[in-house]
Amino acid sequence: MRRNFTRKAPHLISWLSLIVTCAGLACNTPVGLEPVAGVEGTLITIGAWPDSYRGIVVAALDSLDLETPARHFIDYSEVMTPTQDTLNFFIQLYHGAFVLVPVGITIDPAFFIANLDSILQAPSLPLVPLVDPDNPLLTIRSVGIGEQSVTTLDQPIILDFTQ
Amino acid sequence: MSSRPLLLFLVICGGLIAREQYEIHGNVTDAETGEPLIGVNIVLAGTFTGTATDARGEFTLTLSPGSHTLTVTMIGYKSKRIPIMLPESGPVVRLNIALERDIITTPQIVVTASRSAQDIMDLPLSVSTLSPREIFSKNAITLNEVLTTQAGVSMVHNQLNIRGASGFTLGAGSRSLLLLDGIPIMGSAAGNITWDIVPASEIERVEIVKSGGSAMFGSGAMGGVVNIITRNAPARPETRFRSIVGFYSQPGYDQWKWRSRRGMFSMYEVTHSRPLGAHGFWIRAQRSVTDGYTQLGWKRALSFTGKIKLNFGNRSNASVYANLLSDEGGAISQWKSPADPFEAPEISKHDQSSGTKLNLNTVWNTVFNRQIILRVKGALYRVQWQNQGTNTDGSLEQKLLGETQIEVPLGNDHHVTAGYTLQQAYINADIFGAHTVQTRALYGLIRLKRGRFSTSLGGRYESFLVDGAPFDHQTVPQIAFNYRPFSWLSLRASYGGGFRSPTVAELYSRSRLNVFKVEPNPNLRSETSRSGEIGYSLRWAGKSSLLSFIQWEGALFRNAFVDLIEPRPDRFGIIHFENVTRADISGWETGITGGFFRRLLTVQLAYTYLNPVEINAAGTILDTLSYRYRHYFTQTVNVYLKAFTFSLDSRYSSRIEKTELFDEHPLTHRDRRVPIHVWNGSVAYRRGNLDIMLRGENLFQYYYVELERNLGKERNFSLSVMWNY
Repeated sequence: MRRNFTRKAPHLISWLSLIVTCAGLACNTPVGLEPVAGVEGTLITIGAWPDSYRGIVVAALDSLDLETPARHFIDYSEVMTPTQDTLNFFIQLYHGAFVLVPVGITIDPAFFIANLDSILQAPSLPLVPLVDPDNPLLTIRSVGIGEQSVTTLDQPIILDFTQ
Repeated sequence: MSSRPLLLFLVICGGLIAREQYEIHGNVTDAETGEPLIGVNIVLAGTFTGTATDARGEFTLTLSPGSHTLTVTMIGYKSKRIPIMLPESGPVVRLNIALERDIITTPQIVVTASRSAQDIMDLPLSVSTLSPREIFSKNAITLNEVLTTQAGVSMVHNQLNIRGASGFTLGAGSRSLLLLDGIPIMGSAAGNITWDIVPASEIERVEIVKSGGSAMFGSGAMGGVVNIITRNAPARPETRFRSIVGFYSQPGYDQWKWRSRRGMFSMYEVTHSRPLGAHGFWIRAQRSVTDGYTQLGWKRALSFTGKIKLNFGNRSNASVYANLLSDEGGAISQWKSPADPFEAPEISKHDQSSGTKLNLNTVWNTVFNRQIILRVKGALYRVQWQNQGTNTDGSLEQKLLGETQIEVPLGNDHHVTAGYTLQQAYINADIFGAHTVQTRALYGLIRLKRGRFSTSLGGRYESFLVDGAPFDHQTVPQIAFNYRPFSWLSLRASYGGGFRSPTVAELYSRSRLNVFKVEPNPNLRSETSRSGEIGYSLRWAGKSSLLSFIQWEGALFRNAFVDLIEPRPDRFGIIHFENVTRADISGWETGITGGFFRRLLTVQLAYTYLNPVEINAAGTILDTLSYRYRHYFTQTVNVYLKAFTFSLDSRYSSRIEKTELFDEHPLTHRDRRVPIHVWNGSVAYRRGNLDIMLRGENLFQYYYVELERNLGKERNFSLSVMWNY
């Protein structure tokens, strides 16, 4: 019986090492990237842009303050360039309530992205909230974001530069 | 290893017909299991005459009458030297050779580190090898999927990194050189590697030189060299079918599902090998198709590869290798969004790239008196590609290479190698413009051995001309030592210089990546380095039933760079390739492989620690270099049970600390980076001429990015079948 055990022990140990490694891993493998929360929608521009705008982004603010938007700036969408008239955007956010505002960028968008932190500290921002003062709700959207969920805007944000 | 020579006197049993040539037939088997061994090299010592065993372990060799010594070698087995005497007349000779499995005490012969054959334990540089079986065991279609099992070798988005030398450079410029049979196969314009042109199933072995330095192979080798040695035709006709079919899992999160069915991938190839008298050839056709695991990850490729080996008597041979690849696939730049990481941005959903690549390598070897070897190499590498979609750039690149090398033995223990290389590249690309680059190099190495101590001293002079005008020239030295206090232990130390001239892509690229622009920087200077390392190799095999063998290697290394070229966005978001003033990549690596219970269980572990930093002239650390892992760990456990092999392997990389294009957003964690934990498993079955393997990769569906906004490989399962006829 002892000889039988001696003969089988290496097999048992080999298998055991493989199985224990597998089991240990299955329990301990950490979680990598997970679904994120945010908002997605469409931005449409109509007509020729004013010359001063080099790009347009949809900015997410934690409260509506068009006088000092930089203080409330959380994140922003991809950049729409003057050659585009439609932008399908996604803004990664966290659980909470936010306001979406389209913003014209008056400097090179690449410069804006590369230097956002310092730009937001500046007294004069190269950002112009694109809000119709007579009818602000046409372009401003309020959204609530849940955990690991993406909110989709049911209507596109439309910027009509012909008016 | 047994030192008792086996002397075979072959008696005359048949007619007394005088022979000019003997045809020796034989087979090579595993001494332990009796299984035939495929791909064993049988070489007439001191000549280029040789052959390899076929799928049945059989070989045929034609020799003239007289005394000869055959060298029988295969990675993973003790090599044998067999003296034979062939009389003027006699019958057909048959040799039955049994090789003992013993990967540790075997003097593995490698050719890359010193550009001539050398026992791996006598090497003064860090070199590791990969066998065809290790490549097959990963169900890999391309070689890059296998290299990362070695200590010190990693990939960042398919860019080869040996000891973190390259990082990620947007595909422009590699500090690790890829060779095929000793000939560089890097793109002419960008100096990049196209892994699809490497015939992963036709490899005799892969040698990885991890010690930095350009003394032997010049610009691009400053961070190490990977040399792929292709196989020669076996002595009997052989046809091999191989297929891999598999699928990618659906994303582990419902929010990420983007297609209704699973993505599939497949590869089919057929190889035929045949001797033609003293010569031999193999040809291969391969078709691979993948849907990819991302929307633009699809790819279709068709390649034809062949190699012909011509033997002109015992003293000369030549080989011609050719590969033609036609491929097309999606052109990936980044994901649609972190909410849809498998999809492409709407605007670039139809972006694709197609092209052809032709690689032609020729080598001529001649042995003169006193075993002086002359090698003459010629190569053509032609690459054409065309983008379609939002980017319509195209490129045509051609590179011609010629090289002459002479190897002179000085007595039994000393050796001199010297050579001259001329390389000319013609590039005409939409994003680089039209340019020519010429490289001329002169190199030499002397190896001295005294008892257990060996030294090598070498150097290289290389000059570069861009568009016909002198651009730069560099001279670098190399000095290295090896000391073997015991047959199972080798200690080494080396110091050498390295350099890399900027590629055309780094000098002249003008393109747009999303809102980021890449602009040319023709003022770039060559980067240089000083590399030093100390290391050890321990190889021990025992008769113990518990521990069958152990192989333990380690090295402490430091590469100090001056004018390192890195892609850097400026404050306007415009990316230029710039000379970083100084950089320092230091670290250590260790790899251990052990066999237990008469190789019922083998365990392989490899760990690399890197400290990659940018420094100023005073040596003060300014920043961490981008796209480098600080910790990198791989492990493989194999259990062998009769015809079955069960395997589990894993890869861990610490979180990349610095990137260039997108930083992690502090509030929303957009562009989050995580460490990489990937686990793979396989079951293989081998019986006679049939090999079957079932493999699963990224078993736990761990999601990560190596490069910002590009998701790592999704879980996938594959079945491979290989049949030799």
